[in-house]
Amino acid sequence: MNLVITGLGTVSPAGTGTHDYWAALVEGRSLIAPLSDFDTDGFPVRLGGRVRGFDPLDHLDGRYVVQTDAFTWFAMVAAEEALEDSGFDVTADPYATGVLICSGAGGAEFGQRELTALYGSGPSHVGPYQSIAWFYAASTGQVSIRNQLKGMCGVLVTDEPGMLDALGQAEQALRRGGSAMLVGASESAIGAPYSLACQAVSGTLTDGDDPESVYLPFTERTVGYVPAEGAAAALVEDQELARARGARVRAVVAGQASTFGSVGGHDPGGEGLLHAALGAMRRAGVTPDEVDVVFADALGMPKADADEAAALRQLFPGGVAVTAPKTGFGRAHAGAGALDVAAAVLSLEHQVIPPTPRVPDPPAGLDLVVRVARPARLRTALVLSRGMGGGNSAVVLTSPHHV
Amino acid sequence: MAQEKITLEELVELISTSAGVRTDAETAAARTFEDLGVDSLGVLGIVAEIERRVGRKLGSEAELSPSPTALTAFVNDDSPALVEGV
Repeated sequence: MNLVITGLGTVSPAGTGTHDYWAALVEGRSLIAPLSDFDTDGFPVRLGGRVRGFDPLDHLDGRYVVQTDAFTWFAMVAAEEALEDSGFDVTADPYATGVLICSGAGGAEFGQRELTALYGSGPSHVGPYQSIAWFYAASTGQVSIRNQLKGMCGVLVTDEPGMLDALGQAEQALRRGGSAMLVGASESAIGAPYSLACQAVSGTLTDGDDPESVYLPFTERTVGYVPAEGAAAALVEDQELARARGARVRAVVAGQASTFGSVGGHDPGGEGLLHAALGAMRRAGVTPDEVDVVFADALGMPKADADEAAALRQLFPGGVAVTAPKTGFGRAHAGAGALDVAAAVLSLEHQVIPPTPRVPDPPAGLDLVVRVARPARLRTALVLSRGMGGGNSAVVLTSPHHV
Repeated sequence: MAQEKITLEELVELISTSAGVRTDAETAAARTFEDLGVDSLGVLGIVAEIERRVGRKLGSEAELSPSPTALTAFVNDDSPALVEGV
């Protein structure tokens, strides 16, 4: 693969922008708080990682605020940061840049509001923007329109691995002749009861109400995860073209692979995740001893954690540093993989492995980075992701200074 | 009892709440919806809200009003003559 990330943007429970995101990660800050937007009575979840203090009018034209769901706001803001960060001139050839932004729940919060109006007041009370706002492709569409990006556009409707898959898709899009792809994933849907009701059927959410003791993957105390929201976006370019224009390359997308483990659950047994990792490493041409850090999926369910730990031990008999910074805020569904990719890029840049917040000790046989960030010589990072329904994906990112 | 007419000031408020575009009466009076940045879905939402306020259906002709002035004229008088030239 000859793909590089030249721009990065995030909207996370730590705030807007990669600067605040990285600061929270290094600190191992816990951003989990009560879901206070509605009465969670009857829902098997009390806590989550919301993007707080985000006023869309601080970032977006009022039209977008009225017309779109929060998942699109997050995507647009993250995309804006990534584009600006890249310094890439998209206007030179609008048809050379495409957009691919993943979504798991679409505009569920917006949709719920309009459906409430439908059943409460009648069809004439449903606003016309319902026709576009709830849709999974709404974020891709708005980012494309706003920035006049007219290359290949699409949406992957996925759970957590979306961004990793999107990086793989971007490679294909560039091979067909594009010069850049704006890829990302965004999720907002934890402020709406409807969306949480859909997530509840997974049986993997925890209803714990103590922010300090929920979602502790790889520990004996874990009984599930808390949901989160957020987005990350990256501008990816062909390596040669990026270097030719003198771009600051933030990371090399060295290899990516996806597998489908099995229907239902999160890859029961861990075989799918194992093979996604093997495929990504093979495509990247890296051996296990060349991988310096793994950003684990860290589902927070005892069996799934044991499966992942077993896969990691099999992949890395000589051991490897493992971290799961998402423990600090929860799993943002489609946004989760994207935020992990962003964390891995920042980690390679800073030569620091952020810790796994609140997990006090590493489990036996796994070098989980806990308590404090660990400075390390980092050339290669492996990001792992499992989604509800059996999809898995892995991506190998390398530091541009060591290619 | 529903109101019968709408003012331009009310329409300015609806342009903000239904379409997300902030403007004022003077600007709204001089421009088309397109100039203001209100798209066709925005006009649909504005018309639906006016229909609720005036308590009657305005029909698709209202949704095709090119400008705030044309739309208020249509709602208040239903007189095509007043719409011309805006």
